[in-house]
Amino acid sequence: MFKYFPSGDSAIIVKASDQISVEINNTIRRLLTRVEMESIPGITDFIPSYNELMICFNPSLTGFHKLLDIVRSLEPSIADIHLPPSTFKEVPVLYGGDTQESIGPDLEDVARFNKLSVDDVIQIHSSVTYLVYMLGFTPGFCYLGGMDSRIAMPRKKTPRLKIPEGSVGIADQQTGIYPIESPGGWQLIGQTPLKLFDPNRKPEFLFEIGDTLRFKPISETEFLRLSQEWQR
Amino acid sequence: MAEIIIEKGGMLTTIQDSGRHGYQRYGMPVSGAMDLQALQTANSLVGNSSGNLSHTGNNPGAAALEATLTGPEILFRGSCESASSDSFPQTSIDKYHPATLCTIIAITGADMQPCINGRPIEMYRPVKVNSGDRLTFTGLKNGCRTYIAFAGGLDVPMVMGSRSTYLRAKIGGLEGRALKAGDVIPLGSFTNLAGNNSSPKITGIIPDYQTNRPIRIISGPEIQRLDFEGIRTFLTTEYTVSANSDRMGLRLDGQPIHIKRAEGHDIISAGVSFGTIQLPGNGQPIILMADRQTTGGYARIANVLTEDLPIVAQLKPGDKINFASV
Repeated sequence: MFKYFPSGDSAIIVKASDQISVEINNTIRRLLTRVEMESIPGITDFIPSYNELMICFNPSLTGFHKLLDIVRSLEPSIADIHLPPSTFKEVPVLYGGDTQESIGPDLEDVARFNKLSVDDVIQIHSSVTYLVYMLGFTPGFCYLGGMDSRIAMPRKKTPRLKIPEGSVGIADQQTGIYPIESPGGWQLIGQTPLKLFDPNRKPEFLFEIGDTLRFKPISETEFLRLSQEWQR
Repeated sequence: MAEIIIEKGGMLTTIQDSGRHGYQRYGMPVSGAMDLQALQTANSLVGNSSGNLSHTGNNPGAAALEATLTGPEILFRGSCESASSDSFPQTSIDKYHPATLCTIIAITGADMQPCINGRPIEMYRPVKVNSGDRLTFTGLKNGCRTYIAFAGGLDVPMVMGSRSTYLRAKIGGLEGRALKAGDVIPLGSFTNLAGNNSSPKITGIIPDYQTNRPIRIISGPEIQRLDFEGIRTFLTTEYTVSANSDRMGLRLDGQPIHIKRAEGHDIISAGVSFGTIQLPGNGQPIILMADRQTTGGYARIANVLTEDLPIVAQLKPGDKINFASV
């Protein structure tokens, strides 16, 4: 069922498929839950993704072949594992337009590119429930599935050097939120006052693999109010 | 209370321990020292915990300084709490004002020719320093990154289980940034006086960064995307470390590695680890290092063996590297 690869001598990759699907992602979540239940000595970290689970380990405490045997022996029981609980959250977004210049500067381009009005783009983007397939790229960055292809647009040819924290963007068929200020090439359509990552808060991250979210358009007044409330 | 005062930051000096483990599923990079072996040796020499990773909890060990290419200048101030200073031979030249033992340091990794008060000191051994002493570096002789450990460790706040600086998210270390002139960092207290100026220099543990032997690799999950010619190129080319390299990864320049026509360079984003070698579309490999992202979208053609990572971590722009499969 799974394919196994070493990632050097400090991690093992368990690959479920070459495809992206909700079912495959659920299998990865079940596998993660099952392996965690074993509390295997020497495991130091997990990196679940669309179709793989990377299990990181301390090579002085365990090894590839040992873990290979353990995970293989768990394979038959994976299907019976209940999916771990996941949460749904609303993500308030101030979509771009004629408000602050730094907020959603590419919204009109996305509308023009897809021959839609700005309101159409906002309506389409905020009317779908998105699944968090995985996190990566930067702390708290969610790879979301479920975006409507009517608002898809390729990345910018020249990436921006600085994208503000909370920016909501589109890249091809994907949409996502930048949790920290970073460089990036996504088409920016709005900004959320929500802090996806805060090292001084518990929990530090708002989302994890398997969670769902929906974007909710808010006004500039609401954006400023929530920003103040959440930035303390 | 002992502390260090940074008088010059050097090119890139950050506070690092063994890293921030356990949060990679949230996209949080591990960070930590590039050359973990040098960090752990330095910590051991001054009697600090060098860390331990296990499923029951990850202890990142004591925090030390990682200096890149040029060293910082550091003034020591205050007194360590545990020891009475008269039981140690002092380095002070002023016999009328007996010196106050501030801390014990050990310097490992790249040789930047460390000096206390202008006098050369040996690396890879504990050295006592007094309040008022000044640590400087004459210049880089070999390697790329120097580690300076202090008895008791650097006493900065733990952020998510580690004191390591992660520059991109501005967390850990001192305000999540590189050190600069004027910074003051308190030292942790210590009771274990492992350091002794008369102890012999430890030679068995000093790695040879000048070695030209190939870096040993294990095949990665996407190695089959290379044809015979691609694998031959990968294993016979002498690559040059690019100036665009940083704590995230070493970018290599050399003969491009071709991928089979039917296969692309891209993969569905998935986990990467310390030493993963990625192959982006330009055919020039990237070795992922301490500040790597948790996941990547390029073919993972190989991984450097953990044992050889310290050699890779000590390469600087312009240095040569080649690979051998094990």
